Amino acid sequence: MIRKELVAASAEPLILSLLAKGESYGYAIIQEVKARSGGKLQWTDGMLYPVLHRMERRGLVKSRWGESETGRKRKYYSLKKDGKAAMTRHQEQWSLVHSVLSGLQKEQYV
Amino acid sequence: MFDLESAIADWRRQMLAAGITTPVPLEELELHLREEIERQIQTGATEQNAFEMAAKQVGQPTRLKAEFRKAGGFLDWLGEDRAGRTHRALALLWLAYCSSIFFSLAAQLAVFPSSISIGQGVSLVNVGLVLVWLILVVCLRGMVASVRFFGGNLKEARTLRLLAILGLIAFIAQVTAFKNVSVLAIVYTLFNLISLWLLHSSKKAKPLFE
Repeated sequence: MIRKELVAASAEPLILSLLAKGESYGYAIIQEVKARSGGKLQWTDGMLYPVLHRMERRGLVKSRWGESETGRKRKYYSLKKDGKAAMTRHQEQWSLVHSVLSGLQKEQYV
Repeated sequence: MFDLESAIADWRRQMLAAGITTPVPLEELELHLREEIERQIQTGATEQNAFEMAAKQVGQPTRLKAEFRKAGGFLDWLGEDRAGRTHRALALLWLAYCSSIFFSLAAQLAVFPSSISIGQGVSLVNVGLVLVWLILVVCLRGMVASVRFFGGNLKEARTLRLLAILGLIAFIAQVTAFKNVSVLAIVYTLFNLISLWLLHSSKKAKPLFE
């Protein structure tokens, strides 16, 4: 299981990257993160919403109420321009961390 | 016999009791709960098991409330970190402080130049117009420093500290020279002292704009 500090730090970049593919809603975001991480990235579901609301207040995402194909009410979130810029920044930073770690890992096996 | 709707109603009451507000975000959380219950039932769980697992998955009401509180509220626009919020709130107070003195003096200078007062029972006719202009310049510098400090220029903390010290010197000079202390002067002095204390740790604040 991934440490909760890392889960918390990765929440915003993951949400932004998922929303970059198109608008989505809380439940679907959680399910997709679970599926993509093979269940290793476990959020307490309710914790997603404070993050989404904070991102909305900061102007990174916007929301609208809509209905699913079965008529169920849903709150859909989508990326705003500032959200795209924030996502690029996050991706650059995470790539840097990843490349440093990979480099160090390779050196250990040389 | 387990009744799903009354269990959900109980869950809503617990959320409301913990301070989760309706319609936002409670409605959204309830929709999430219902989707998870539906998914659990589709995988073969009983209604009761599905509800219990979904409620656990959504999270404890008190923890959720704490997370929503952490996520911010009316002070969110001041930034994410506590030190930054404190200093930006302080910057706004400094802006109000300097601009109130600046505009009040400037207006008096423009309209009633002969009866100008700095608002602490001190007539500036006695003190001289040079001092009025000097105070105006200092206040203007204070306004610029407040705006820049709000935007993340932590070097301006030094300017604000200097202004706070000047304010304290002015207070002491007023008490010594005129034996007169107004309530407003005491409020300004307290503000200067609190500012000096809070600005001392300004390096801890994260800039608002990165």
